[in-house]
Order: sequence, then C-alpha cells, then structure tokens
Amino acid sequence: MLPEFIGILGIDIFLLLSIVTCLFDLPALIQYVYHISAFVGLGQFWITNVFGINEETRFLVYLAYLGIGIANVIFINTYIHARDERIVWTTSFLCGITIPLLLSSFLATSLYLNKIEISLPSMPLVPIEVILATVFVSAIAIVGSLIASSISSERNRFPPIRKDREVKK
Amino acid sequence: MKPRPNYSKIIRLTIFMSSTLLVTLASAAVYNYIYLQASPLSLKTAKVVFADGTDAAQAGTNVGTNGTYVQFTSMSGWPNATRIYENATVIMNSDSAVDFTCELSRDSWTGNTGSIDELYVRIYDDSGTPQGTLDVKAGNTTSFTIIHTEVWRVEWRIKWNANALSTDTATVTLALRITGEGTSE
Repeated sequence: MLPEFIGILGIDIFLLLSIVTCLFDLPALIQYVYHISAFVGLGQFWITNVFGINEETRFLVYLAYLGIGIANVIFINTYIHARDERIVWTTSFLCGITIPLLLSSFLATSLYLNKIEISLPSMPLVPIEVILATVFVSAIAIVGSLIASSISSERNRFPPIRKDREVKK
Repeated sequence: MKPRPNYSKIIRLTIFMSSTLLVTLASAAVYNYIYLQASPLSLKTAKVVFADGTDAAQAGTNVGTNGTYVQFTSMSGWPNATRIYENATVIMNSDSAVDFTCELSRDSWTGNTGSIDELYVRIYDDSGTPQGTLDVKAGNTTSFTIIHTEVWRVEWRIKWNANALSTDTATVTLALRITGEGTSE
C-alpha cells in the first residue's frame, strides 16, 4: 500500500464535498473551491512523482490533505445544522457522510502505518495521454461552469433596470 | 404555484458529477501507475542448483555462480568404446518441502557431431535408480521430479565412432527447465 491511497481518499472527499454543497445550496464559490481542491490533490500526485519525494514526506503531505478534507466535512455538517436547524438533515449527513468518512480515513491511515496490504483489483493500464485528456476535459468543464456561474451571479446582483410604461391620464 | 426548476443548479450538479467521475478514474489510473513503479523486480536464490560431483576433476566440472549453470571443460571419449562419467555433476533440490519437476533438453549441438555414435545424459536419484535419460544425439527431452532435500547425480556416456579422428570435437549445450520455483513461497 502506498501513501497515495490516502491522497486518493482526500481527493474523493473533496469531490464529494463539492456535490454535497451543491445539493445543500451553499454558495457556488465554495462548491468550486472544493472541486478545485480535488484537482490540487491530483496535482500533488504529479509533483511528488516528478520530484521523487520520499515516502515519509509523501505520507505526511497526503495525511494533511486528508485531514483538511475531513475538517471541511465536519464544518459543512455543522454549518448545515446551524443554518437549517433540521435535525433530520444533520443526522443524515452525520451518519451517511461524516462518520463513514472518518472511519474509512482512520482505517486507511492505520493500514498504511501498520504496513497491512489490502488486495486491490488489478486495473488495466490506461495510457498517460488518456489520463491527461480526461483531467483536461474535466478542468475545462469546471472552469467553464465557474465562469458561467459568476456571470449569472453578477446579473442577479445588478438586474437590468426595467422601464415601466408611463401611463398618461 | 408550481416552483420553477433551478436549471443553473441542475447543470452545475451535472458538471460536478461528470467531473467527479473523470477525476476519480484519473486518480485511480495514476495510483495504478505509481503502484507498478513501486513494485521492483526482486531477486531470489534458486532452489534447484548444480554442484560438483565425484568425477568433477576428470570431467573439468565448472559450476557457475549461484549454481545455476555448469560447464564441463575436459570431457572426452574413446573411439568405438563407451566412456562413462558416473558423477560429473549433481543436481540439488534445497527446498525443505517442495518437489520440483525438471525438464532436460538439448539446446544446441555443434562440431563433428557425425563422429559421435552415442551421447547420453542420465539422471540418478539418491538410491541409484535412473529417473531420466536424454539422448543428446536424438535430441529428445527427459522429465523428472526431483524430491525435496535430495541430491541427484548426473551421468554422461560418450562413445565416438570407430573412424573418428583425434582432432574431432563436439560441443553440446543442455537446458534444464524447472517448473514451480518461486510459486511455493
């Protein structure tokens, strides 16, 4: 098991956060920040691999990344509770997202630290070009969506002035 | 009044979900690459190895590093008579529990091969029972299963043709293929 496994968990948490915050109608900017954070996690893979950073440092970096992700999950859980004051939503979020993520993060870290191997299904090797194209397409879609969202929010902030017809008596 | 669907949210959610799928697949593929890079080829000691036999000095037995090959540099034969090297080399199975199936075959056969009437390589087990015979001239293959911890001797029988010249030489290379080494660990 490699420390990148913990990094993958962090990436998945940020991706999940972006979807959840969109579903719960949190500000659009937060949703995009979470999604871009997932891309940052993917970028870390590339950086640590290219610069040949040792395993211990990589583990600490990915652990910090995972920790930030978990902290944000707890924050969103608390925020939803404070904003909506609906015990059903808060409990569902807590039992469906926060606690499972906490447990899986703890399990992954523990497995890595105790050097316990888990058998993962072998995947076919995807060409590097396909991976880069996938990330590129995804990034383009997110940037496009972010721009469209910011234009839309600007319009809502400054709605066009409507000229009412003058009624002559 | 029926609430108006929030198209902006639906589109954004669709984009997030598509992007999530792509990023997840990409990160898993990258992990696969890194995992493969981090799995180096390992080195293990061979379980079935060659060693000097009691006729090693006469046969010019030269066991290679780690016992994975053996060369005979001074084997010779007589014209119209069979010369036997009863114990030119031995094959040892150092595993404490696993028996390995071996296949001995001729790899190459060069020189004045037409001047040789007979060339046999026989494998004898601990009790002296023949377990396989390779007729080098015919180029057949012989298989045997070497028992764990046992040391088996290899016998060479050479007979040159009555008309063979003293300048005639022949070189033979044999291959010993061992099945199952490394799978029992």
